Amino acid sequence: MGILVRHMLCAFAAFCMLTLGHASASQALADKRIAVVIVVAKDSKIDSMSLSELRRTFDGDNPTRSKKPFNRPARTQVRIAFDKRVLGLSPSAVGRYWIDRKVRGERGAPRSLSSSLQVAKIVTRFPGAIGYMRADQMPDWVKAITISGTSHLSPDYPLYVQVP
Amino acid sequence: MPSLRIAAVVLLLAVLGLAKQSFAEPSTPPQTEDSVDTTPDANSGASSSEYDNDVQSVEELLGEQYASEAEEERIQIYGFADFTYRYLSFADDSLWNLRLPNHGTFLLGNLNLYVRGNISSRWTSLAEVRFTFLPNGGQVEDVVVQSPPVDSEFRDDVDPADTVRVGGIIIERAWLQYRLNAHLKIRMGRWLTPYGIWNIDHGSPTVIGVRKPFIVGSDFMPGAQTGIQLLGEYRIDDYRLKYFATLANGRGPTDEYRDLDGNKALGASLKLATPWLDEFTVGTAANYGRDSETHAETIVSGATIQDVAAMTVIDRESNVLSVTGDLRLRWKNVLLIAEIASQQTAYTGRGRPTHFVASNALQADSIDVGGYALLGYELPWQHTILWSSYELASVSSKGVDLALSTVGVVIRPLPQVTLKASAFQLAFDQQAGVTSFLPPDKLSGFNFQMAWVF
Repeated sequence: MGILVRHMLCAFAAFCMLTLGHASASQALADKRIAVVIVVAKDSKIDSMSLSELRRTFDGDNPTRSKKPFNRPARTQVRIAFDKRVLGLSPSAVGRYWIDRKVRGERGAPRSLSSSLQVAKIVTRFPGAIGYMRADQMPDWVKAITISGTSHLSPDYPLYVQVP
Repeated sequence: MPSLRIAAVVLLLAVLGLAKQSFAEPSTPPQTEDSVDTTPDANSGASSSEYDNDVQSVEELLGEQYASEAEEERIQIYGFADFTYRYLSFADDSLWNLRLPNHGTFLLGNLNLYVRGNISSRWTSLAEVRFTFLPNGGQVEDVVVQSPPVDSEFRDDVDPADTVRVGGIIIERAWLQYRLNAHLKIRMGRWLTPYGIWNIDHGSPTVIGVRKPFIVGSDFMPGAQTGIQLLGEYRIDDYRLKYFATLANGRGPTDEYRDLDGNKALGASLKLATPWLDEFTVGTAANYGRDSETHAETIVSGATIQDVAAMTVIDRESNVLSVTGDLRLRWKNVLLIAEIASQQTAYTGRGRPTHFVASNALQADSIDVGGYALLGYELPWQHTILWSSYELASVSSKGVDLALSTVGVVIRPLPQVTLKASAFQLAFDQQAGVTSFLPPDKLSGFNFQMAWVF
């Protein structure tokens, strides 16, 4: 009986440790937010865009010479965060959104660039190109614009990913 | 021996474990971030040659002339198709027997191919064709007399022992578009008329139901037109106004490529998307044009060629005004789609035909009105929508009223694949005092459909 009780106590302790460990890990996960910065060329005249302006630039309807959007690959964290906040689309809805547009005869998704480095090079090289990336991966030779005047350094910045 | 058995079991388990590792799909956790960026070089910049190589590869990716600013590839080829099982049920003596099978049938309905050309930043083209088994088995539309089905079966010269059934191609749309500025584009060619919800959603993987609503299928508003379209949009914050103006051939048996009268059809359309609820869009459209059917005859008054003259005979001619309105809203899991349409037909003095049933009377001017409402509820599983719709139409040009009730479910396990099931009941009523082509009658049935994008 004593052995049984000891085993049960050990199991309970292990359960508590696992639960607490998981909780603290979750807390750590929740705490680590990294801004997703909207980047343009250093000499670009664009300094700020609202979420609405970003939406109309990236929703496929109105590409112009002055603003050429570049996406990130589907299923990356940065793309998921961008689609959710800017286009208002969940990962499951975003595929349907672009497929339906094509069936309607409308434009498809902006071209995806696979790395932040590639985004930085493209926005530097080509006037009007706009991309996005994690703030901690932004090289200093591109410019991060504000979202409605809010810098990515501000805690009120609306666009970020959570990373472990 | 037991130790040998244990060793054998351990070995077997080890082999199975290795095999499982080898054949298991590679685990694909959500990508945290691109691996390229995690290298120190990513943040500190790259060498000149790396830069050139990378930019070059992107230029190749986007097309040699980057000035195209093509976010997408220069040419995109894709399409959609659908496969349906349809079961219809009606009385054995019903006039529906003239048109439809009174039992279940498999049906390959649409096989549509798109070719989109992103020619430059300002020029875009789109062509969509539908491959069809028609004209084989097709019947000339006739409301009373059953015409024999077209037989397009021929001996195949490649293999004389074989026969082939020749199908056809329907050009759904083919246009070239030039962007004048951020708010205005001009589109030339054949295009889908920019009205309503169903006609714009267009493809079976995108629309909710299996079949078109009556007002859409019966062309209360022309579904596609050949001509010129001005289109654009204006946005203020989260409000978006889309506007369209159209100039086209108008209606007729050859309106895709030949206008049988001098009058061009004019149209306009507005669509307002608002940030209200989760989605709230309203639209309206109008189109006014002439519907003509003519043929040429020769008149011979003598024996020489100078005595032969040609004249155009007007079989039917009317001015047609079409007006539509539409609403689409989504709030949480609830979806509501509704469209209404009217078509007013006024015959000209020289183009009023005989009544479609009573040959001793002339066809009267008419106003056809109709609409549908579709209410759906989205379940949190595989984008499943349970829906129900109700359609009503008063078609005075044919002397009937109709009511159609439908319930269905649509499941989209992948963005590219749509599964649908629906059951419906259609009831016809003859309008009072009007000779109709159909007696009061009922038709019911169900559909299962798979639609996919490729």
